[in-house]
Amino acid sequence: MPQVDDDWMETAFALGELEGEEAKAYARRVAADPALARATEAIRRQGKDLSAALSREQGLPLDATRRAKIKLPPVAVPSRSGQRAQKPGRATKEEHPSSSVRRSQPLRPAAAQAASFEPLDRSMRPAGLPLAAKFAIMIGATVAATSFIMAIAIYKSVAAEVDNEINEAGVRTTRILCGLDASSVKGMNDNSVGPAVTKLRGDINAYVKAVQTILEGLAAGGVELPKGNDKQRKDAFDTMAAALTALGDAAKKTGSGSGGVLTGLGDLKKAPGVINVIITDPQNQPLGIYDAQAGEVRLGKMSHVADMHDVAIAEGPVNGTAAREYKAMWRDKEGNPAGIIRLYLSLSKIEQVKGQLFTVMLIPLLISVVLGIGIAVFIAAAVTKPIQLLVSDINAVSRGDLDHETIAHSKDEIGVLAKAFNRMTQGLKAAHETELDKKAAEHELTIAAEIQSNLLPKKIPKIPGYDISAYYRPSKEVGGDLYDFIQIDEEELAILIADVSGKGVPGSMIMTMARSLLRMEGERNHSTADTLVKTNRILARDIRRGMFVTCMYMILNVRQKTLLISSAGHNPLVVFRKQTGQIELVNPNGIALGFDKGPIFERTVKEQKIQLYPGDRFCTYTDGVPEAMSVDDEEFGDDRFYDLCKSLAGVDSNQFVNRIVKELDDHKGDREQHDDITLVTARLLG
Amino acid sequence: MGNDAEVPSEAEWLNRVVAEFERPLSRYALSITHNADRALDAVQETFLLLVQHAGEIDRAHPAPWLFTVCRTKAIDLLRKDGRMEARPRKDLAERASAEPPAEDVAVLREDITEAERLLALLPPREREVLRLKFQEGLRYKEIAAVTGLSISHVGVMIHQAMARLRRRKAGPPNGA
Repeated sequence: MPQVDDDWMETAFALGELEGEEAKAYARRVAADPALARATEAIRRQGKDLSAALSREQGLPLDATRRAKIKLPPVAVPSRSGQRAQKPGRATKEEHPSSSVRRSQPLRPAAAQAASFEPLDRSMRPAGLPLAAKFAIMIGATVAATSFIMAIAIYKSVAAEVDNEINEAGVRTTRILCGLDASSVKGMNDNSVGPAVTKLRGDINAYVKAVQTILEGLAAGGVELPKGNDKQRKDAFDTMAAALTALGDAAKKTGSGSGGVLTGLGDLKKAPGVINVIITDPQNQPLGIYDAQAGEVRLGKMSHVADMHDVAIAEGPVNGTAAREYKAMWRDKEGNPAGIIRLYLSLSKIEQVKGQLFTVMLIPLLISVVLGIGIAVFIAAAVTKPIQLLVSDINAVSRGDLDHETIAHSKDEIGVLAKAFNRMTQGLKAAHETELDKKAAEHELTIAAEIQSNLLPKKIPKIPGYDISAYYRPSKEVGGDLYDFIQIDEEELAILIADVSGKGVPGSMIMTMARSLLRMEGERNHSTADTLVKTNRILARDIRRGMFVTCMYMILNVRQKTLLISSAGHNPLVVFRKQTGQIELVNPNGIALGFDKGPIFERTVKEQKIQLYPGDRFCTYTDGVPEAMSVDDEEFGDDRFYDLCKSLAGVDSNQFVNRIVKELDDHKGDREQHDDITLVTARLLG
Repeated sequence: MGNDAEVPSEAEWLNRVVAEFERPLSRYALSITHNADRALDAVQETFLLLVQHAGEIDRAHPAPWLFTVCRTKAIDLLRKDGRMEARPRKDLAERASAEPPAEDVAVLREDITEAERLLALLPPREREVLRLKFQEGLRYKEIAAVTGLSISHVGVMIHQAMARLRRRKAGPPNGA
């Protein structure tokens, strides 16, 4: 169908699915061809109709069970009224025909559930500057500050060194000038030049060159002064000294000192640092002035900086530029003051050297700061990465996945944190499971207690001439105590008390079994031993290994006033004889039910019959009574119980039981009862 | 913090997506499984995966991902149940398009929806792309991603389906 291949584009165009050039081309074709335009319009309409028809099919919302299985994370609920923070833009966007129904129904339960949780996402998202950036800024700032301080220190010391170097040069020059013969200064502006002066000029030139070299060396050398300078300087000074000696000789020779000497100072012009030299007499009257810039010398206020040898150093403006003044007393041959020599060096040269020095220092400073920040970013990222991982793991756990474990990638604090977190998760899980187990156990106990309470006789039989009473109190963990009365015939009443070794539901089940068997057998059997034997035969077969039931089974013959007793390993029967006022313990031989399937039990179990007389009382009990524990871990004890029975024998049975229970309660105090307490007692009246 | 309010948290987004798509996904799944229970199972599994993979999904356009997963899950469920007859796969689709559509049978069903009636004439695959296009408003590109067909194949199918529907409207089908 080749034509189809082409036509589908038309549909696609009508439905707005074409893009770019294809769409443009089609648009042109449609504009040119009215039939095509009609066709596309028809398709467009059909599409709209289809959309309308199909969207009427609503679809089903998820039911609560399935919704719960999705484990949708809860959303924060701003207030109880359930107002959700809706953005206006979003609200309009969601206005689908069915959206109002959709949204209001399914979201509510999840939102309501969420109220008890802290919403994870917003509060768990780090706000403000990330930790990595803080680290970077901190380390970067530290590096920058350290580098800056170091740079300043180096700069200061080097600058001082440069200063010192220049001062020394200035002082030396001044002192050399001081060596001039006072007479030779006169007529300094005279331009006549003798041969000696020519020589002196040459010498001064040499010196000037040397000074210049030093200054240039200082200006160019930056921090380190060129080593050779010292020697060069010395050479220059030596040359100078020689020149000055020669100058002195020349002056002497000429006698009058016809002058011209100081015109040689004009060559100082070649030394860029020297601004001028002023030589005055002691009265401050100028004797000679060398001015590098020629013209008027304007001296500003000089402030004293330091003294070096006998040269005073001061700073201040000369002709408007900053200058350093080296001032020394000029003495004649006899050592009398002949005047004052002032040498002015330009400070701009010194500043220039310092400026270059600063530039040189700035580059390593910047490099170290940039490097420091880079390293800081790297370190910060390395530190915060495991934290981010840990946060995502914590989020997973807080969503309820207690099996989620985080992996410690390092042994540092973060690693320890991860391990601690895992331990916490495991602890939580264990606690959660314990809680569940506890609930299950409690549930089991409730069931067991219910079973047990249903098994106990609803009322105590009333027999003329006898006063019977019974008491039962379960412990918190349901034990397996049982007592029952079975009416065999008009004369005989069976009384039984039993204690199952197990607790909880299993114990209750055994008890149910034992009770049914004893009831079944007891109703037709007049022998206590035989009843126990037959009960044991069935019970021992079905009972779980290690479980057993102790039982005291008695048949009271009402008319004959006799009591037939058999015991399956139970506590003895306490019998109070009114006549003697003494207690008798009746404990016929027998092993607990369930231990042995037959022969041994049958051989062991015995019957004992006792005669009752008016006022006699018998009492049977389970071991919860003598074993009742006090707060100080002290058992109530058999003897104390027997004594109590003896002293209470005369009261009526209900009171007897209540008094014993009260004594037991007093004994145990705040201690929890750990075993069931059961008491059955009867008294022959008369 | 105004910016913070503008970007919804993951939890908000997930809740919104579920609220927005539970019905569309279920009607789509239903059109594949023809069983409400299975359709909802497929939707549930889709959302379960959504929650697990929330970080990997394009938040602005979750629809293609959702429909793709939902489709896979729905078909998986069909396979698991062995209800092969309800499977709108290629073999069935081809057979259906070859046979005259059982419109009268479809009409007999009481719970038939308007949409199903409308699409009853079409082969299942055309039905599916039409639903994705006009019911869910997906683009050709997105439909292609969901169904695993090429974009032009999607285009051709939609064109053919629409033409077929137009022809039916104009006159009774001739059984071709």
